[in-house]
Amino acid sequence: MRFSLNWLKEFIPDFNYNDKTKETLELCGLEIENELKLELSFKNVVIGEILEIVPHPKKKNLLLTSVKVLGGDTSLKQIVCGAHNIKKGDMVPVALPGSTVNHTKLEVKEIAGIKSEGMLLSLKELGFPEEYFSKSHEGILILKDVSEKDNIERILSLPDVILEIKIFPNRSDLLSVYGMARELSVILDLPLSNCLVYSKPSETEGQVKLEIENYKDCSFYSATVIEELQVKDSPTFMQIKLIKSGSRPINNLVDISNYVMLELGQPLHVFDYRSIQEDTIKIRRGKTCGEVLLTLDNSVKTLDDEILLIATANEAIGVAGIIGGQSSGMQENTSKMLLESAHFSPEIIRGGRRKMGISTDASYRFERDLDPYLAELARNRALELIQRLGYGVISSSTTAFKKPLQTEKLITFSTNEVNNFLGTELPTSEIENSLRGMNYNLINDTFIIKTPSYRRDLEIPQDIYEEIGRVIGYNKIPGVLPPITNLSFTYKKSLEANLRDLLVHLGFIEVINSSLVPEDEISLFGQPLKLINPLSKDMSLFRSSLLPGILKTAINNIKFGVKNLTIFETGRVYRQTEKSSLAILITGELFSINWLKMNIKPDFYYLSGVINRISEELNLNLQIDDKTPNQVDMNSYDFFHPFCRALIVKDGKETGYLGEINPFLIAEIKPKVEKIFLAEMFFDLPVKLENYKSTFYHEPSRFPSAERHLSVTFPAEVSFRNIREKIDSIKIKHLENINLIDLLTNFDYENKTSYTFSFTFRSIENSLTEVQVKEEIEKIIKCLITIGGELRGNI
Amino acid sequence: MINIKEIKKQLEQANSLCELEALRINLLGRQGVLNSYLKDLKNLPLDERKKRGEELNLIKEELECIISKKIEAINRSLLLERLKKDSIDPYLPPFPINIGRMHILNRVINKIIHVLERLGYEAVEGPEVETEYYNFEALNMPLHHPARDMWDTFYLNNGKLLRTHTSPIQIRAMEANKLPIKIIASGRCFRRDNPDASHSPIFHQIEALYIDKGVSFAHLKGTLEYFARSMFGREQKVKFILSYFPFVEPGAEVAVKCVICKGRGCITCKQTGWLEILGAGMVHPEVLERQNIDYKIYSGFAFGMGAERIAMLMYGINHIRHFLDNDLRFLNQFKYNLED
Ligand SMILES: [Zn+2]
Repeated sequence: MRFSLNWLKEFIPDFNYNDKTKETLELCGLEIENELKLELSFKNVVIGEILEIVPHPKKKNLLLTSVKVLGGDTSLKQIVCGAHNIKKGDMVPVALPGSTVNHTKLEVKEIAGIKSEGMLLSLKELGFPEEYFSKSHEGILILKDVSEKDNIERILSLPDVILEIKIFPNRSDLLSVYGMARELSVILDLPLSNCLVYSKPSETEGQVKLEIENYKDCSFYSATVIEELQVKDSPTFMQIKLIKSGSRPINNLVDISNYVMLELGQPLHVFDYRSIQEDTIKIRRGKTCGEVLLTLDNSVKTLDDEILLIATANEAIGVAGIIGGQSSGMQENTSKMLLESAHFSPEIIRGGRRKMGISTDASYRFERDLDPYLAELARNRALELIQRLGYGVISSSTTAFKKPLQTEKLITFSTNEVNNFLGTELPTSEIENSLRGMNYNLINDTFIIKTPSYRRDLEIPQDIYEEIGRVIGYNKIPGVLPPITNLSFTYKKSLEANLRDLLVHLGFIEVINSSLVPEDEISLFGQPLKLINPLSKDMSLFRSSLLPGILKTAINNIKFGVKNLTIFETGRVYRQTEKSSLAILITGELFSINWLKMNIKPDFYYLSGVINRISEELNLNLQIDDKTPNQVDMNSYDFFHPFCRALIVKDGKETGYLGEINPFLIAEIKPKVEKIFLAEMFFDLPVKLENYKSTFYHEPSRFPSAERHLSVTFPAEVSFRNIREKIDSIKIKHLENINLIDLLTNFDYENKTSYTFSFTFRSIENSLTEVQVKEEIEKIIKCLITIGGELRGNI
Repeated sequence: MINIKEIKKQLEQANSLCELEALRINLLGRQGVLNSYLKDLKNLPLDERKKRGEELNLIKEELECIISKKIEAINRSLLLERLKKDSIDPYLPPFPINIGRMHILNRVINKIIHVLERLGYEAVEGPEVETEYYNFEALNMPLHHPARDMWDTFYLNNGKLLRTHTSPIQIRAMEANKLPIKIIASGRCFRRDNPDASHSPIFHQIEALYIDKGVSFAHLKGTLEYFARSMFGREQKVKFILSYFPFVEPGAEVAVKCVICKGRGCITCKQTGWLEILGAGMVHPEVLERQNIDYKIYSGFAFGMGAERIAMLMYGINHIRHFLDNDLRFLNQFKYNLED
């Protein structure tokens, strides 16, 4: 919120704004987000009355004015002016030759051949930067309600500083000049000049009948009828305060309600009395049967029972605390109005505001929970201004409210509790001293605080401890490390963290992609999780797979000339539920090109080797399988080459895929992309290493091993899986290891495949004899023959 | 008589194994020179025979010794000849060995986790797709709470939302854990903020929570001082700037001495010498009470920070987009030893 330093000083005259007080305010949570110094950049500017206006004889768009300076000599000054918002009789700021404007001395000038003996000034020329106040004022500043004794500096209240202070949503009491001054007086320990005493209008058996449907929605409502209205511009001193606060002057009656809102924080509303049918105001929820309202911003809103309305006997004339209706808005010729000052519940305002999508200065304040006693004070202040300035006559005033408006809030705590919470050793007297501006009783080190009605944020002792802490200064409390007592947890890294470490060990580079993906991204999984309010179309789905992201990463890097990639990503995806996912991508060669011509071109089997390694190291029991995936996963499966892909199965359940990317998907990409191999697997949340087994030491055998090679041919229809399962099914003594070391398809021009195995045997007890090894090899040969194997060689 | 000198010269000059073998046969072979002298011994008188025999034996031994040394020498030079073919040029480019790397963000997160694990904090995680309850309500922000506006939220078509902070994990920990609780939660968060150099709608947060009997504000401050020194150096100090988060009371922004200018004032710290790096506060009793934790006995503190901001400050990274761009030329700059 914008605050004029001079306006604040009206309530807290001793406030000295400098670097030190600024730092104190910031430490106490009043962050100055912006600071604009309004300097006194002019000298000897006077007030003049425009006696005559004629068009400039030589140049269109210019005007020629005759101005009489107030309190100066009687001679008329001839002044050329470019702005057109002036009329005869207006009082304006005038710079005569010899005066200074914008730090520059003024001289008599000729403008388009006519002598101009001075200048009529706009706010911009008086030192109000246009870009900051652009919406507030244009053209020559027309002075209202000024006298001979006034001077421009005082009317504009210069010099001044505009402070933009960040206000947290729990501090509705700071959304006003008075409230902010009150807070500053507490933080800086300065006296607050309390001048908020205004007389109450006499409660008349008013012509207005008030009906409040539910006091929970509206605990206080005051309707004052004012007649004999004089609608005109408000006095300049008030306009300037509004402008400095970022508000735009409209007319005296609207300005007064804005002025009171800025000064005290209470939004007020005025209705043209002609719209109040049957002299009745009902504060009620909207009707669900299609009730509508044309609001002041000229849009038709559908109402319902979650929106609180101000209505007459027959129809709604405004949305309570948010916006008025078009039909009840003040007209130029209005002579009678109804001034509303009320307290609405923050929940109903916030609900209605969100539902209708309209946010106003009034709703902003109401939804932050205002002081329920403020409505009456603000009404009295507004009526005082209206009467004093002679804008109208109060004809009746009616109030309806719940009793009591607020139950007294008491907070009790002891000196001990304060010290335990803050970790300090403050004596009671120091705590007392820090309870500035609080109403409290002290009985034997126990404080009973009666919280002020405007401090909506004070509810529990901790709220008071915060106040004490900030007066003492949090930065003065010494830090203490808590005792390290609770080291009882068993440390276990998450599966995701383990996978990351393992892949880094395997030489892979980790990438991190966005979780929010474009709507048209290749849908890899049935029903996508959509954002209702995306920032852009490019980020409108929550990803269901890491593959498109990691593929994009690969292509971007290839475009930058990085062609060899071994990368991985872990992250969350959404596939009916949130899952943790791991994606691996390999393309190009393993090593960068080198003169030694040493390299490896990774392929499907390299990737399946990585997965096998992961499975073994983390004991995940992953298997690679060629069965068709279930229906919902079919989309993902089509991401792969139709003849170079496989499923990853964990404990018998599909858990991912691997293979070459479907060449169709990268066919269009330039520069041409080489084969890309990808794998992705999914894990249910929470990801824990459920199969984690402690490793126990095994004594390695001290005896030599015996290695035997066996070449066997099989008919093509016997798959390697059949062979492997067959070997695994028989008991072979001392077998340490089996490796497939050669594979020839179409062997001997027959439809046969030849496999060469290496078997390693070793005993932990002794050296194996030739006979022992031979016996086991015979066993293997015999079993392979039963599934169609033919022995080719046996070394 | 045997011309030893001449023979030694011949042996010396032999430079192949073949030549040497021929000489050996000629000298020491069955039909060799030495043998023929030995055969002649029997014609000599007994005393002379003995003397001469000893002489010949000495010569024989000497020659055998010379020959075997010579063989060794030739063999060694042959081997050297062969090894010469293996000679390398140490100035030629070495083989391009690969190394795996974790993403810089995860490395920063890990470092923070390690620093806090030393104080006994346990690392935990939680879902990214959250409910209103965990993200707001349980954190003392019921529906229509104006503080909800502090976090612009992405809502999903399944009635859930994308978590705006890692604080929901605090609630999950309170539900699951026995007291005391000492956790460090990390993970990806989402806010509907327009991206700029330091904001991204997707970012990572790390958050610590400690609930125990008698936890005070001074404990929070002590922990943060330890943290700041561990992360940014011994000389570090922390500064509390009062702030507001509905789930803590009091709440504060915590600043450390600017890591770029060491407090003298620079563009990064807007000439203040301080950088706000985390939010902190004492857990609001309302939050504890909702989880049936007796706030009259237990109290706690929490603090949290953005991993991207920390990484940007630690490594002088000027734009947040680099983290999700995955340009390997960026990722590979962060060498293995960076963490110490
Ligand atoms: Zn700095």
